[in-house]
Amino acid sequence: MDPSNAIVIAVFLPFIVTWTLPLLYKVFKQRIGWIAAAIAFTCFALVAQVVPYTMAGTPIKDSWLWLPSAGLSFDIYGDGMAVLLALIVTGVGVIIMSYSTGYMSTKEDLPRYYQWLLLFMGAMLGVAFTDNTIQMFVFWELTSITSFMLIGYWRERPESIYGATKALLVTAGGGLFMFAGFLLLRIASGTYGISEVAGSSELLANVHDSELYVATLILIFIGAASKSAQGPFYIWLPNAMEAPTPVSAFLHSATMVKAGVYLVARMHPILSGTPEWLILVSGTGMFTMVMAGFLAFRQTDIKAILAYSTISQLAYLMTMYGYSTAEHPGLGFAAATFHLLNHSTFKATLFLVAGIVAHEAATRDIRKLGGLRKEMPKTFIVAVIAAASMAGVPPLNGFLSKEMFYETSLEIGHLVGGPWALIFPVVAVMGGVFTLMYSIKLIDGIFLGERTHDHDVPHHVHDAPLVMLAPAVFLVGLIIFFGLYPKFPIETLIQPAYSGLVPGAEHLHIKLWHGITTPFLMTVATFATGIILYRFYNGIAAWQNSFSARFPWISVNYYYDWTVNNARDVTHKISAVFQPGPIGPYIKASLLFMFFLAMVPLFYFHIPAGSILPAGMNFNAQPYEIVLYALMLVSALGAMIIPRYLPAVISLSALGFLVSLLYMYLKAPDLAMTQVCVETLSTIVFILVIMKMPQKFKEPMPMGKVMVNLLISGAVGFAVFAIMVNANVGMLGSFESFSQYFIEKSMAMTGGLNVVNVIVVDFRGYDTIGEISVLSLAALGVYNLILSRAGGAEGGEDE
Amino acid sequence: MSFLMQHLPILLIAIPLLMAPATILTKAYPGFQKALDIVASLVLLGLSGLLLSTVWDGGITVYEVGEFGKYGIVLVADLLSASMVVLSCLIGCMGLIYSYDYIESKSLNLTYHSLYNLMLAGINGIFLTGDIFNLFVFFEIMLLSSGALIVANETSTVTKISDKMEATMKYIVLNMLGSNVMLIAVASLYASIGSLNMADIALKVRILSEAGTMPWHIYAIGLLFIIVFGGKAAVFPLHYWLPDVHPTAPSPISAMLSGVIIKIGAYGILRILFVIFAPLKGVFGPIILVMALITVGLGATAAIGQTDVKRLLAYSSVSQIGYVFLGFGMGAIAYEAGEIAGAVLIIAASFVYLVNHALAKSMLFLTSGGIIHKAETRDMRKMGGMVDSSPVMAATFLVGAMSIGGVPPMGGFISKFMLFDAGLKSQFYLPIGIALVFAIFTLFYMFRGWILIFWGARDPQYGEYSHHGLSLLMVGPIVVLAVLVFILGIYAEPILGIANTIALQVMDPNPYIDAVLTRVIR
Repeated sequence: MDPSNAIVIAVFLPFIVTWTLPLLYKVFKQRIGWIAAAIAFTCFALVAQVVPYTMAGTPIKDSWLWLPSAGLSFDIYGDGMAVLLALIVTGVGVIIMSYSTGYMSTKEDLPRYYQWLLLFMGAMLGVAFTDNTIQMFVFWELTSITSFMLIGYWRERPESIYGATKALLVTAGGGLFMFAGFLLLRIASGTYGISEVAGSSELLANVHDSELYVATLILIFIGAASKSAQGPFYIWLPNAMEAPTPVSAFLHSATMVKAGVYLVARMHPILSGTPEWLILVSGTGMFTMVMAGFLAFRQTDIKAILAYSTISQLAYLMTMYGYSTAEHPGLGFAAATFHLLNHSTFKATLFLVAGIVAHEAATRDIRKLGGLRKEMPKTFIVAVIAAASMAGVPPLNGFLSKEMFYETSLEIGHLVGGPWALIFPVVAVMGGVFTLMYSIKLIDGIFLGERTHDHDVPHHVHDAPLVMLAPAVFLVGLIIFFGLYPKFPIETLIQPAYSGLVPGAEHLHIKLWHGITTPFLMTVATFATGIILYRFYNGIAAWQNSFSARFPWISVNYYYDWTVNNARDVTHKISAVFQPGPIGPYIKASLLFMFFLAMVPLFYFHIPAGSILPAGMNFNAQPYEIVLYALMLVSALGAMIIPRYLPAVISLSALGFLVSLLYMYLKAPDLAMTQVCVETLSTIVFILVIMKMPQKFKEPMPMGKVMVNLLISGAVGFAVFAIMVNANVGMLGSFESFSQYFIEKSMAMTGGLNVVNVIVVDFRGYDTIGEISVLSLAALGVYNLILSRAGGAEGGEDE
Repeated sequence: MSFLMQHLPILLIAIPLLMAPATILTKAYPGFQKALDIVASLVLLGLSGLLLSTVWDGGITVYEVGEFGKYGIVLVADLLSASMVVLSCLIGCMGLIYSYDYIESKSLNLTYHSLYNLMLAGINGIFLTGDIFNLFVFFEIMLLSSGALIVANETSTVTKISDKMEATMKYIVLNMLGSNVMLIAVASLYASIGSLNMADIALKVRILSEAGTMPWHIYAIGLLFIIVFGGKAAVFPLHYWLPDVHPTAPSPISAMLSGVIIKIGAYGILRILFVIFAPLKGVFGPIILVMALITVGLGATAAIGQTDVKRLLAYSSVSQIGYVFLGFGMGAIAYEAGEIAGAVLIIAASFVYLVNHALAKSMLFLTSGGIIHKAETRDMRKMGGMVDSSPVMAATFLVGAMSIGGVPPMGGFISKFMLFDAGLKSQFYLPIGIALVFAIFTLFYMFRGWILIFWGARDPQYGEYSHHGLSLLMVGPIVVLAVLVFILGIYAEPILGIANTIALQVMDPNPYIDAVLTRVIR
């Protein structure tokens, strides 16, 4: 098959098949897991076809039209790194889905479980093979959502909900920052493409020289760190352990958490080689490695230990990908990539073991377990090998990549120089020591020592059933195989990934025995220190517990919980300030804003105070005009200040009648007549309504409030006056008014003498239809109100 | 057919206007009444699609009501108007179908149909008119009809009638304030420029601006329209009516309010400020930008504090319309700074944002109606575990939550992508940074709401969920809208194409002016 088609099918097959699972479930019942595993295997086989191309150094690149208007296409890029991640995803996928057929009770909602697992797998394949940043973000957030759904699989349990929410907020929220980083990268480089930038020295120079470089790097790294649980973002991963154990093995150790590291590797050719990269990526990695390794001590749940271990191991990867200088940009790249593969093997195995133990012994609490080696010998052997690989014991694969870690730590320390020549290797050894200690604790706590007799643990514990043991055994086989024969994974997977992303990558030679070198001595030191310190393991854990009890505010979780728990109260208070309830303040705010807007042009154009009102205003008024105006003012004031409804309404209608007098004076008899009719009608209706209500306003307004209201209405009144009076000056420029046209054409076109009537029924008859609708609408509305009030009688309003 | 094509714009207003009396006259035959109205709304939807395709193929369509050219009233369907009409007819149709089982039958039978049709007529009239006073008239139709619909009774009512009364009063009073301001602005404009035709005004404002003789009060008039449309759109500090009105209205009406009516404000800004008062961009751009940022922040913050599912969605609407206005502000500023191409991109992004929010939020309000139907409360703390009994609603609410939160592969992602990308390209780093932070707020409140409703378990003290599931008439519209939200997420090309053309038309009003003014007048 054409390799690019193979990739596209592998990405979309899970998305399509997932919709058929509920139907298939009706036929296959609990055997549905095997269907899902078969899909995963199909994807694995499809991806595996690409390996020869990547080994030959010819990555697969293809592109389809997606959103041309936004300059986006659907781009795939299958290089060694992508294939490596995709094989891990699909390979572990096959293992996990087979394992789940034994692990998940047949009473569970299996279609939903496998649906989300498949969706997740498809999303991860999308992340792996994407070649533009926007597409990367799409699949990236899909992994966050699917992870959210799977962590919250037992959706009625508060712990699951807590864990799922936290994971979503951290990973999807971090994803948004990454998204912003991608957009900045686009501005700096001019393209959404990833391999396009990586392959062009000109675009690379643009990115590195851009003033946005640091912001881009930080934003993208926030996304990567939140996904891979690095730095302060580690907090979601321990709580994600509420997911069913196979999910934890799949998403939260082997694959999804690798997405952040994968992103760092993907961005390596574009952003690495600067001090900022080294400080940010390696710095965060080293800090997280030591912190998480140390915090693993106080955990008592097997899965929690494994979670902290995962954080710490991912930090190894971050640290190594961060080892980058301008001269040696890809220093830790090969080691990191190899460790990425190895970590997936041994950590997935350990999670499977955790699942087996929980399944058989009914608890994951390491304090209640112990001495299970006799009852579960096969599981014991599997666990020991996996833990030994994690601790870096030769001849397993973990030993190989850990030695590469030590070696590159020495080199970067040497390159940076100064005290760093010591700090880098020492921190690396510290990480190794902690890893060794909790690895021992895992085996010791579960399998060694005396058999406990806790009432949670059954009297007789069985060894794992074949369906759950076989996947673990297969992974252990890989651990040993990669350890004894590293040439195979190196040549097929690691070298293509390395050469594909690091220009001028050398040929890798990995052997078990190099002779007595500094890295070997560091390994020896790690073992010696770890074994000695292991005697104080419980003491350190107890100290950690008392310390965190005394200083709860040191934990990032403290701030997360505080924020989430108080979010509602705090925001509720804020919104109560802005949204108090009664309508009065709202009207005031709107009016003040109106005043503000009307005044903006005055300041914008520096209009002098004298020019606000037009010059040459005519203040010559006849005495009877003045009387009319004074009466209007009085009645308007009366409507406002009279504290009883009836007189206030009458005062208001007096104003209306006075206005109609004004119309008469201004020689507009038809307007005056309309005004009289409207005023009469509305006053009657008003009074009819008012009669049924209490006749007094509830409380007199305090003087201060009155003054404020007066000020606001005065200001708004002034603004309106200014706008209207300016318009009163007459037509601007040489424009002619529509009125001219109406007056000229009214007789000729319509035969009407009264131009107002002609406008209303002819020129603008369409408006009149609208006005008629408004009137009938008001009637309907009032009818509706009366209807809905049938029964209760309180508060009313008029329209 | 030619009659249809010839009178297409007015039909979109006339049909619902005529349906209003028709549905009252047929109230003795409820079955017929319902069938008639549904057929009418489907026809309306079809016609709106026809209009859109006509405008897409043939350019701006001008329809004279009467024969007086710019002196009479013209309807103008450019791409912006036509798309808005499609949106209103689509959501209107979905809301109507949904109403049949949601609104109490007596209320439905008596006035609901005619008020609903008048509302549609008002909305379509607003979008299609090319006359600024006519715009005011249809504003009133839309305002009064939607106001009266707020008090319609639901079959399972959880809102006290006094709350509805209070909300209606706030809605009417605060919007009447806007209407009055509009009247003042239109009157002053007419007295100064002598025209009510939008294209004509646009031309004259440009002439004044180019001659440098524009008096300050024309600027003030232009800015007063911010009050008018900002109030409709519920942008700070004019948003106060919305958080009370959207939750108390029956859910299909909430869907119309949030989906279409607040978008009228956005439409008005584009049509009146960008097209007519185009030379004012430098003045109103920064004002709208600041208003928008406050709106985004305030809405998102307040949404977190809500326990009422519909109030949550209402505040979310405030915040989301802020994003649309953010685009308007940035677009105006970018244009003023000479970055025409950047401004076009930003405005296009705003339009995409508007459409996606309209679909997702109306769908969410319809879903929330179903949730309330089952839970018989709006308080999310009294819900929980609903996913078992209502998996479809859980799915559609999730689709909506993802879309509003900007999570791919939903429509909301495309709009956030377009907006942020366009904004950053024109170097609005700080506004986009603020918008990004509140995007995380959005993610938080949407998903927390979803979790509260659908995960966990319901406290037994609140009783059990009602057993009868949602009828097909209620589920159908929800699913249709949800599918649209999803499709716009994975393949948004058509809407992006439309949005780009709209943005070009908004930024360059000449084709609009020419289409209206170069006509033979008797």
